[in-house]
Amino acid sequence: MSFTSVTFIVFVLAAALIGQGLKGPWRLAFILLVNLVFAATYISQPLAALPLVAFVLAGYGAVVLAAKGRVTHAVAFSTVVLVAAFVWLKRYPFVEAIAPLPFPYALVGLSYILFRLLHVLFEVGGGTMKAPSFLRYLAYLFFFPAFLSGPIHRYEPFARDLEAPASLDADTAFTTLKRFLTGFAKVAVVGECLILVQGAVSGRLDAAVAGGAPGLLLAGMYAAGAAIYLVFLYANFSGYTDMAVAVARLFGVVLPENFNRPFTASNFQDFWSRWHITLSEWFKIYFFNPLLKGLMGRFPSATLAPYLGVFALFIVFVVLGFWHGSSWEYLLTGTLLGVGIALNKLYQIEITKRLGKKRYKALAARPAYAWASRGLTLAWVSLSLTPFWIPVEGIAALTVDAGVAGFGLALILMSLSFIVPLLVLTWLERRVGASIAVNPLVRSSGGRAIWLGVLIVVLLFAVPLLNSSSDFVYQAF
Amino acid sequence: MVHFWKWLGLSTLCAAVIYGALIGLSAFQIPWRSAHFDTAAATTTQPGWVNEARYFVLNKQAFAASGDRIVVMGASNARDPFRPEIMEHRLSGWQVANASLSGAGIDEIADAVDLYYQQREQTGARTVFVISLNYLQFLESPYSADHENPLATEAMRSGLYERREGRLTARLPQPAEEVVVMTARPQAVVASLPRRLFRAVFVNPDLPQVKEAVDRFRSDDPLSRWTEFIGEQRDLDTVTVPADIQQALMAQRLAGAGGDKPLGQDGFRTLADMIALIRSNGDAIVIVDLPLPEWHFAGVPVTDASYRASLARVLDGRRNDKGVGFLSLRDFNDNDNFFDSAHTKPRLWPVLSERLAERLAAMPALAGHTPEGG
Repeated sequence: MSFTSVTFIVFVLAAALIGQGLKGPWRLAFILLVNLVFAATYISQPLAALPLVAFVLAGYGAVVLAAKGRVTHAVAFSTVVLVAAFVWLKRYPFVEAIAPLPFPYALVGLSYILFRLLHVLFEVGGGTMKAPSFLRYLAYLFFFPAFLSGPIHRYEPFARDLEAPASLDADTAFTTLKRFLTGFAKVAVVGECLILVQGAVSGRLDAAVAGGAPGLLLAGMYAAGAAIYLVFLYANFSGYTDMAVAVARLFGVVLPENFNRPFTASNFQDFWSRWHITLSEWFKIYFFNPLLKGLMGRFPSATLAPYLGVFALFIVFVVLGFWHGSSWEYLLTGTLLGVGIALNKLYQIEITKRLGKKRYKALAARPAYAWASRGLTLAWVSLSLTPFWIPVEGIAALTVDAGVAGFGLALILMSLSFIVPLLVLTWLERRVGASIAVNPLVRSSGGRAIWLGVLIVVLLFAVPLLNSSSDFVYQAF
Repeated sequence: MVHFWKWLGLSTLCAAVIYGALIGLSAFQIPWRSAHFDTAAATTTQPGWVNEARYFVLNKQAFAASGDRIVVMGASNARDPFRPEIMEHRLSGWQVANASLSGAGIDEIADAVDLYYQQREQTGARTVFVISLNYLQFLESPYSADHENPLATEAMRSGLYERREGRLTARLPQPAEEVVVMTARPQAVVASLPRRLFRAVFVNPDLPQVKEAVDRFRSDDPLSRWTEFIGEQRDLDTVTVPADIQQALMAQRLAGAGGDKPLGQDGFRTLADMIALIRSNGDAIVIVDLPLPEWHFAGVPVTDASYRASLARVLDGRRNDKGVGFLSLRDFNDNDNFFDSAHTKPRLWPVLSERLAERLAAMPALAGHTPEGG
């Protein structure tokens, strides 16, 4: 059941209508039922669900084991087993030698189930949380608005909302509906238009590489394709997240935010605190912090500490990139992300050493510096995501034809292609945005209803015209 | 949750009002009911439809009206020459619809026949189909399994139709379909705007400096050169597309089809099935063998021979069926009759319309109901 389908809208509205008055065990049972119906639409036959069910059951066994605390290293052992099972089920290239299951099976939602499951396991194992009941555990893992691609919400607030659903006052109800419609438009209109353009650019780039076009032209076309792809990915993923957060709100559950204006990030680290926030947080809490702690325990030197941080960041981003897909392309994505964040962090360390904190802060606050940094950050992220739209062989051919200088030029062009429109948008936001926000007509009930009505009309107009299925990119990860 | 339902109700109401206004406004661009069902309107007087396929799908309710009807089907070389207003003059009591679609192959024509039958009420009214063909309709379809032809794409848009067992099948009951079709009218107008804007600004002969700049970016693709040439002409009766462009265009088309070689038989089976469907509905059919320039035929001797032989086999199967007629227009093959490789000059259109009307008037079906095989 695609999020951008009429079936999904009818399903959500019907379920929200039926479930709105339910409390206690009835509410839990109803949410479980709705989750089951939603997940079942992605599974072709019962056998295909077997690995997913076994994975979730094994996960609960691990949580119970961790809660009892009787087995030494239960959490570490369970983590290794669960991650190994995940890697095997997802058929990562380094487990190709191990035989796969002899039947086709569903992997939908597995990546995000793993994150939620490990979160519960770590918290229960660490004694910061009590083990949830089996039914609550299932309701959490399969909560349908976040099932496909997150956000990766934490168990405790979910359990609170399960017990006592978050209320929906007039303002929140308006925001919720607006968010759902805006998210829908981001995915099905903005994203679809962008990917159409990106597809055309990508096709031209293929032809240019095959036709031996000059490096300058290749750099320009590649820069356009990469920059548009990042904006497309933002429209697609943040649109999906908007819809997920809004739908969850209709069921009394507040999901965490996943995006916070990532195109205004001032540097690479800042970008990752604004893009796919729940994933970045998860990696920070459960991977980066323990890894850095381990490294610092192993190499207890104050001079080394910042560089250990750089190394830990590099490792985290390589893994984070590789998580995106079970092929070598994504290892390249991870490595590029890792190199980006490591270089950024190293630069910060060295420049702070030379200039001192105060002067570095003053330098970073200069508009020209801030905008150049912003442009370069977005350009590097776009570059890192290249394997999402060009296979490794294509990247190799492009590298041979355009050369390192071509990629350097592409980075500059990409930086400019982000900086110029962002400057215009920032100016417009300051000049027009503020006055619109305080306009009494816009804030009135009539103005709001008209605004929502216009959004509905835009969707009714554009979606059939684009006539696409609007899949979510992150659903595949 | 009460607040949410309130907002949903209010916004839906607002959307309905706004959309209703847009539907009303769309009538300024695309008429509610055309006097004739004529897909040529999409390329001439009613550009709001964008293309013939959209015109077909959003106007096909016209086929539900009672009355005996002649429906011309084919590609653009059947769309232009067979003018309903001229033919109706000679065929008293019959409405003539030209439902031809640019570039339509035999599969797309078969889809059009299916859509027609799903629309037509069982009122006892008679239909005579005019299926206009030459070898081009039987070349391998350029549409792959996951890429529908333009008519099917339009029909499947908004979930109106789906392909079931190879045929376009309505997904909605008739009243609901009409509502969806009505809501699609403003979309059609909006979708036409980019193309109309492009035509009005970038390829407008009245804006020579802009056009010159745009032409500089044109590729050497023969279709692009053909479009450029045709776009510049005020009177197609007095010009002919330069031979090198025509030859290149034909060579490109033939190369896509694998060169001058015998045609596959799938298309002729589709034609035979189409004839059987039409006859099983008690309707009649006239196959028109369309003219092409002599130089064109000279370039495809094998393909054309295979087309004629296969068509003859299909028609032989219906030799004694008076509900199946044939009209050859090959006596119009003179090179001077064409402005390009397939399209007749406008001065010929009244003549061709008269010839078709004459042939139709001679069909027993126009005199009375013709049972299958009779």
